[in-house]
Amino acid sequence: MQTLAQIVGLGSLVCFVLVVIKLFQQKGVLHGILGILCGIYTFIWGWMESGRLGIKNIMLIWTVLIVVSLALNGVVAMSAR
Amino acid sequence: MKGGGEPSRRLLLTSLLERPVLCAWIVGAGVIHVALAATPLGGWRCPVHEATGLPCPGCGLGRAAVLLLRGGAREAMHLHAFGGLLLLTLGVLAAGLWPGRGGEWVRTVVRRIEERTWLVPVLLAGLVIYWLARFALDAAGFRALVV
Repeated sequence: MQTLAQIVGLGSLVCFVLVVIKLFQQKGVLHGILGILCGIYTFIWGWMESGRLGIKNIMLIWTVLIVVSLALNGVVAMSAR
Repeated sequence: MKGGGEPSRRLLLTSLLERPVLCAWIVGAGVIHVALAATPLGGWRCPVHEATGLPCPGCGLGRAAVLLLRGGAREAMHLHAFGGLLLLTLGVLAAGLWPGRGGEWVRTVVRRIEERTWLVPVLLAGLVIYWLARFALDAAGFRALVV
């Protein structure tokens, strides 16, 4: 379970980094730094620009990984009770 | 920049306020994140921490904001000194969305502040320096406290 969580986390990080790179390229340094500080902003911006930048697949994968991560955390929390 | 066209890249908050849909999503997600941080569910999962186990500069902001809202200023400062900044930023963005003259006034004030000062870049730089300093001074304690 822990290995799966790490793999999911790593996948999520890769998607995050790819979108942050796009953020730096499109919007400049300040937005890029904000994107690093606030992953939520990066996620939202990524979805809003997904069509224009052609990153819809990355955003879909990232979203699935977030949902899987939440589910794994839920399973761990329930099994700990 | 005056009139139409995209704001200068230095005008971070102004550029967000000029896109009401994006701004609304950010405010909504921010409020939900802070609300969830107050529950055992927790808020948004930081991708950096999930993958590496290390806190990013923003880790702990949501929980610090919750502590502040509950009146625990000292605990909030101990967890993350910039928790109040998160609440202030969400408040400014939300106020900038207000329809009519109120929202327009907020957007004008924010634009003027950003055009005349380096407040936002300095605060962002301060956040990063604060994060680096916490690692330098007490990495293990920082990791245990924030995550």
